[in-house]
Amino acid sequence: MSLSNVIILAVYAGFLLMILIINLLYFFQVFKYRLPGDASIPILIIHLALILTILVVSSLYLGISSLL
Amino acid sequence: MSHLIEEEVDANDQAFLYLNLHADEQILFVVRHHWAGFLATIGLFLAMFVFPLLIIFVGKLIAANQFSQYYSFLVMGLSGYYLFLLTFLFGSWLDFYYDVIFITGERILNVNQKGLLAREISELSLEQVQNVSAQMEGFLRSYFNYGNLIIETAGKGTSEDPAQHGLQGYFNINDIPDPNRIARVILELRRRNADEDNI
Repeated sequence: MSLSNVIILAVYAGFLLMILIINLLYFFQVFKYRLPGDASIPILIIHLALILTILVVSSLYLGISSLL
Repeated sequence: MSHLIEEEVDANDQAFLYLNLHADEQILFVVRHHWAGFLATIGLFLAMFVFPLLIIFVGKLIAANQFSQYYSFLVMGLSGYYLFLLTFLFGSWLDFYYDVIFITGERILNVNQKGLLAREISELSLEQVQNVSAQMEGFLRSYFNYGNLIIETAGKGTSEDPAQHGLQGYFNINDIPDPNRIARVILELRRRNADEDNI
């Protein structure tokens, strides 16, 4: 793996970490400020499902394409 | 509309502790902004969602041969972009959805979510209310029955309108459902409290 690829992966990992921290703060915010019976939890679950789908699909693609 | 205006809420629930309600103060209405007020953000999200796909489509048409070399970088870039976009949309939604207006038997509490982990609670005693008017302008607001509530008060205003900001008398709440009904409720509560004080 070339140095430029390592740098790109490191930048991407840093970006993912930032996204993770922001989403953890949102998670905390939802559980702190939600009101009984509101739509926060279903929307949070949909949001997390979409985030995980993007992460899993892109990781699988990158993993498989690097093996081939 | 019923999910936007809740009535007869249990004020003893722990979720309402931060409001510091007085003893025996009941929450009569919980009002959230109308969802149509979020349409502009959804429009922006959709435009940002489609934009890179259009770029890729055009790029493939122009230089199809060179494209396959960069698929991995493209997937990485796109996944990062859409993760950012989803996070932006969820943050905007929280900002929008966690702006809540509580109408109790004594006060109007306007909870204004300001970005991540910051919120402002402004309150107005019903005794200070002098007049309440509803404002509905435009096709969308008339069709979906939502608009602005303008409460004229004897206290300091909170209007975001620079012409009215900080002036005595204006407490503006934007994009609330059925503003005429809410205005009527506030005026009725104000009148009832005044009658009780006179007895």
